[in-house]
Amino acid sequence: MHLGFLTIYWRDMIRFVRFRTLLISSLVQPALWMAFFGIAMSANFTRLTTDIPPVPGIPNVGYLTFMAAGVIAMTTLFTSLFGGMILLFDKNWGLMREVMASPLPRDHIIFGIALSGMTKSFIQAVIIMVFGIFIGAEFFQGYSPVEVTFSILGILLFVGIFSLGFLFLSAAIAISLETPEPSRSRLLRGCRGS
Amino acid sequence: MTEPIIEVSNLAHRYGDFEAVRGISFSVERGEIFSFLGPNGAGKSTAINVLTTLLHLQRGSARVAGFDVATEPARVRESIGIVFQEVTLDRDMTCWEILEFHGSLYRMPHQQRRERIDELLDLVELEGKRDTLTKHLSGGMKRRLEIARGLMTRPKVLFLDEPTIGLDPQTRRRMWDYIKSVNEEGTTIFLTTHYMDEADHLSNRVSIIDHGLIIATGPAWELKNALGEDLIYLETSDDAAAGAALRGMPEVTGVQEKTRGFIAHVSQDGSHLLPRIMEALQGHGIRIHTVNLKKPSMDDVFVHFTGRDLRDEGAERPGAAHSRAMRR
Repeated sequence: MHLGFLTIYWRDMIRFVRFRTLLISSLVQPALWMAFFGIAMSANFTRLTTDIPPVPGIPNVGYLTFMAAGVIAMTTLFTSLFGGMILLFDKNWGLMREVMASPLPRDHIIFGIALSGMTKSFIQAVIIMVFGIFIGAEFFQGYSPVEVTFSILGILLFVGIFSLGFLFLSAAIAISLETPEPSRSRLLRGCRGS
Repeated sequence: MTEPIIEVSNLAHRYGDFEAVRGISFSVERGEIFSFLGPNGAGKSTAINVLTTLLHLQRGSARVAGFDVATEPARVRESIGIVFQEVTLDRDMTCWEILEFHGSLYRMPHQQRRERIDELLDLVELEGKRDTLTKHLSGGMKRRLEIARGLMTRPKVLFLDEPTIGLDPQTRRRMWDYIKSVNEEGTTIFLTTHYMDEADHLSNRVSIIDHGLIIATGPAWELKNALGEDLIYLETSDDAAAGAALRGMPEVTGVQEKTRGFIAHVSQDGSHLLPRIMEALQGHGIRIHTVNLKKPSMDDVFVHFTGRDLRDEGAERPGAAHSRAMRR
């Protein structure tokens, strides 16, 4: 089996780690979001909803828990959209030419980018969950360890599929976007033809 | 004679209505340095992009390293190395990572990759910069790293698209040394340039290309000889009479008027002929103010073959103006 996509993956992860400001902001921002808004809002929501009787048969979760799931989804969304757009930067800076001129099958470029985008989303989802539990979100209340394991796998599965979808979407947009310079876009068209 | 490593016949390429390359044929022998010399927009990069499979073949045929560009692009890609015209290094990767990335793109085995990286960093004198991010390298270092990258997979043919563009004269000289030493190890080199001296200095054979057509091909000295052996520049008290007198001499193949003085093309070694020319002119009572003897440069060759000055083409060639200034 050809493992060329791992090369692309490795390179993209290097970039992720090396781009310090982006790395830290992408990891810290969702956590801060939850810490500031989540805690403040949840106090208000708890006060407002004490009068409403719980619907029978449906488990009640706190606002922070509810919001944490949303923060995971939102973070995944933005990371994935940006993850595919990196192809556009590669194209504009001419970095793509090296890969295009190599014997690497073209689809491996997309696989590699998709895999690294997914990894980034996983890292962020885990950080948000750990931080959420730390500040009081109740993800797995009353679950046995086996159930917790399955829940985590389920979350990762959901995050994986969700991020893949948006990665492919943004990668498709990035590839079809024309650069201002005509020769480059022709270059890419030529590559797709071969 | 061995089989040519690059064989191109009737290659043509157009962008919409614009014909960038209009049917060129040439071949490159194994182990030589072959140059495409021409102004910006002559079609050099287009030709290179077709040969390196970055543009698909529209018309004609091309074989590189024994493989057809149109039908076996993957095999061609495995056998070549490329240094692009513009810098294509990731700013946020170290020198080592750039080479490692390239090596694994071409599926080199781990051990071989490590050895080759050490070897190449040594060759281009970047050992000390192994863990430096490429954004902290100077222009010359970046170019050297790119050449190292092009050589990573021990390609049969190395394509260099304007390798010394924007480099200072000392760095250019060193780049030439690297290119020559790479060639001596057996790599065939295909070079495009718009620097006359570069084509002259480096290559075994030169093709002059303009408006998408090859105008002349041959060893640099042969192209120069088409102009005659030497050029003699003279300023005299009576240029018209002196010109007429020189035209009468069998060794003088042509006389070209200049704003001041004139240039005589001679078919013999100019340094031996010059005293006789001076005697002849003095015999006619003509006083000589200035004498200058020079070998034809690639600049002269280009003008001779294309009928136009290379340096009229664009403003972005400080090197051409520079080399002209040096000759004066």
